[in-house]
Amino acid sequence: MNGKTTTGQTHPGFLRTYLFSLDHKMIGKQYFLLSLCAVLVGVFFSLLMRIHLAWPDLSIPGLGWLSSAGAPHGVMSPEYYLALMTMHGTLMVFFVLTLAPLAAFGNYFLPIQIGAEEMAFPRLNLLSFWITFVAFVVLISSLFVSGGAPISGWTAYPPLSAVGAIAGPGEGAGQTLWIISIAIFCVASLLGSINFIATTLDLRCQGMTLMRMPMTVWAWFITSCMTLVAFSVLLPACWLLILDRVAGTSFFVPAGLVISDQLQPHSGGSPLLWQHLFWFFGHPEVYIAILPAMGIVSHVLLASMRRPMLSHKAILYSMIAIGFLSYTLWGHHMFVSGMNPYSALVFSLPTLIITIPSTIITLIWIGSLYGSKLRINSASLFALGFISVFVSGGVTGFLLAQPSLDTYLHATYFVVGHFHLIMGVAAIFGIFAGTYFWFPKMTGRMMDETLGKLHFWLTFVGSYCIFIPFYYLGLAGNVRRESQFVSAAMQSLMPVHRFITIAALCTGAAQLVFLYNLVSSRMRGKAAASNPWEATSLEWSISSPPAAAAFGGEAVIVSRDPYQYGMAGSQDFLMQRESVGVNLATPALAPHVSANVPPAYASLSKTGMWIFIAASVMTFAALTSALLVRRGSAQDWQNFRLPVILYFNTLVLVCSSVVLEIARRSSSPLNSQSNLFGARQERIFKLCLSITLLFGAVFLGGQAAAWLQLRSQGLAFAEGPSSSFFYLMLEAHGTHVLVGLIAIAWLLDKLYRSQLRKTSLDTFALYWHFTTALWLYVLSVLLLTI
Amino acid sequence: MTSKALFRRIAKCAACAGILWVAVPAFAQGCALCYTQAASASARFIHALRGGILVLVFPPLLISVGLATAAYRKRNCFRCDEPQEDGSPDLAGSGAGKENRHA
Repeated sequence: MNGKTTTGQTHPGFLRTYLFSLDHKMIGKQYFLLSLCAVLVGVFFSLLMRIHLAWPDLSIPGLGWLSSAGAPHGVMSPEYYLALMTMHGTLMVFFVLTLAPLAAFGNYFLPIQIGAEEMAFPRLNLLSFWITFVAFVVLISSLFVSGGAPISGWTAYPPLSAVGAIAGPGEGAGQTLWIISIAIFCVASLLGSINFIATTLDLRCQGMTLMRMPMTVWAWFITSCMTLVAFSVLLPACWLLILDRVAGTSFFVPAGLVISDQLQPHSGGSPLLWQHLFWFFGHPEVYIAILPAMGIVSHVLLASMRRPMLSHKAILYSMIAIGFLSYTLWGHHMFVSGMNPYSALVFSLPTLIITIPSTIITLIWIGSLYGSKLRINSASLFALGFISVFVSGGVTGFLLAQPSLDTYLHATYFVVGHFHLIMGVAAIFGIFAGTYFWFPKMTGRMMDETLGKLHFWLTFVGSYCIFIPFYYLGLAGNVRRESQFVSAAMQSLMPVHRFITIAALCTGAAQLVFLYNLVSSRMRGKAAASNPWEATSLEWSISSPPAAAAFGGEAVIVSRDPYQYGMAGSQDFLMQRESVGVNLATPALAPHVSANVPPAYASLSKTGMWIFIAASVMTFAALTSALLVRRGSAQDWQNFRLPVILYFNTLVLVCSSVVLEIARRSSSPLNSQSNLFGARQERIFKLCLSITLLFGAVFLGGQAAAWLQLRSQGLAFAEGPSSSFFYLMLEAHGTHVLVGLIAIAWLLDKLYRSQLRKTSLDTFALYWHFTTALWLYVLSVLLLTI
Repeated sequence: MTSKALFRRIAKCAACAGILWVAVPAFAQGCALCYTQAASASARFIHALRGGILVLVFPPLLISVGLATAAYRKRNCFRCDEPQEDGSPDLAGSGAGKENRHA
């Protein structure tokens, strides 16, 4: 697809420029557009739901065409309402709140803000986007399959989500597609987080110490760490759910379940196991959605206030605390009574103190705003709006944290108002703030400020008109998740519902102003200067829009903190990037830079591999946790003798690791610059890698033999929970080995072409040793539990 | 260590212990739906669930500590524009060195 210009220079064609570009900026734009599509669909569904709630018998034009079974003659059926609710929640949580502030803005601006030309792994980045796109397409396709979209909500609680088509409309192919979509999304998110973490750790430009990173970069980095852990657990949970549906296993479906007069062929699973795994993801997910928005809001406010925050470090440490505590918080969901109260400290303490960092951040924002000469523009208005809705949603969290109140309010619209304000509207205000702030940089054109301010006020007032009445409805006992309210008590609340629906329609219409502004400004907007907001971070030191090589191949040097506002003189700010020619060795300018500091580049692949290993560890921890819960609670657990060949396989795999390590330790690069090897060493490596490849293949063959042996003894995959876990863990580990074998083949190919590098060998050795250690762990778990 | 510093350390430890003590009666408040469902399960399941929860608690903590340590150790490390002689990507298609390709 390459073409040639008249000057003879090759330029990438349309596909390489717009669809399969490795440029992080284009991938960021692709994520933004994907999120925009998702939000349009998600909001459209919510408006349909609101219209139905206000006027249940109204025939909505065109709805019958969308689903003749779900909405005959345009009147929504209760099942179709639930399907729309499920799709709305899934689209908004996964494809908008998780994607836009992190993947879209993060991809575009993280490398630029740390002075890098590209993400750490551009190919992985591209792959991550297209996998996300596939997940989106698979999810949307569930609307059009027989039976329609799933109705089990964005949390997909079993047994409804696990038993299949017999459970009713949407629970057939639609639910299967939903789970597959989320599993695919998990993979994409994990790849993205590996890229973000490695980029932040290893590709920072000269002088960009951790403490000099902008708030946005910190927020993206912390969020990526949370994503890495959270989605590594959701992924195996999705596997288990899919297996319950298609392979007949019994992880989540209890015994003796009768649906439509039919006894379900499952034995002793527990829906609580899904809740256990899902909420490990669900709790950090709340912060995954809100933390990047916090970073963006801080970034925008600083440029608008023209002075530093009261405490830059307090905000950073608070964001780190939120990220750290969000993992431990989930245990409070289900850690039940009857235990030693001191053990509950582990969970009750984080529950109590996680509110503190959020409060600190909010107070610092407000304290910093007080007395500042705030520049009012669309971006700063949305940043202020973020603080407002974040507080409005957050204070109701204190009420819900009281068990006695929560028991009453949990199933009502009070909770709907709470999480929509704090998680949905707040994060979307953060996205809007980022869009208005960075649009000039991304497109080279200014957005229309008048339209932007109109958009803000309509959205701000509209959001409060929609969600504050939800609190009233909840306190009045209006239950959520129901498509119609037929009781007399609920009928009295219908005027409130109609008011909310009208407010929602008006707020939805207000978004057309934003869309018009977005498109018209992109086409005909005023040309933007390189730094229209007089901001200080690195993205404002380059042209608008940035060139393909954002810094033009120049060495980027940073010599000061990111937010130097409020300076005396004609210009009240100092750019973070020093002009070319600054001597980094000057202690006054670069106190952290030392000639003895090792280069980070050499460790890039290793960093990526370590992060992957962390994700893999979490996945197997989730499987182990599921195994322990299922085993401990099961009446149907059958122990069986593990095939003897597994011990032989273990020996083979350990030997392969030893051979590889001997080769690795004996190696030394021929040339420290190229990292390549001499001819003699190449011969040794060929031999060692071939032996490792052989051993790996023998191991996989041995695992297959163990599998067949058990099958021949009548122990099928879905025979019982013990066999299900046995086969599943073998498969998961076997996949690691298979990937390792493909990598060895690739390394050998490089070796035969004399292109193998020490870095590649070291990185692969790390992977292979981890695979061996993982097998030892899996075997130990199986020995102890089966 | 001076007596003043020792006193400060003891005061900090006492404050931490006080916070822990105050947290005890709070138990694990939270999601009423999950809590009631879990509490209504059999004692055997509750025991198993606790084990499962503990297994999932420690890996993220270790990973967090690992990432924090890595970040701290690399706090002053910067990218080096190391040339790639053959211009070929490494195992994962590393973006480092792209600067040279652009140049």
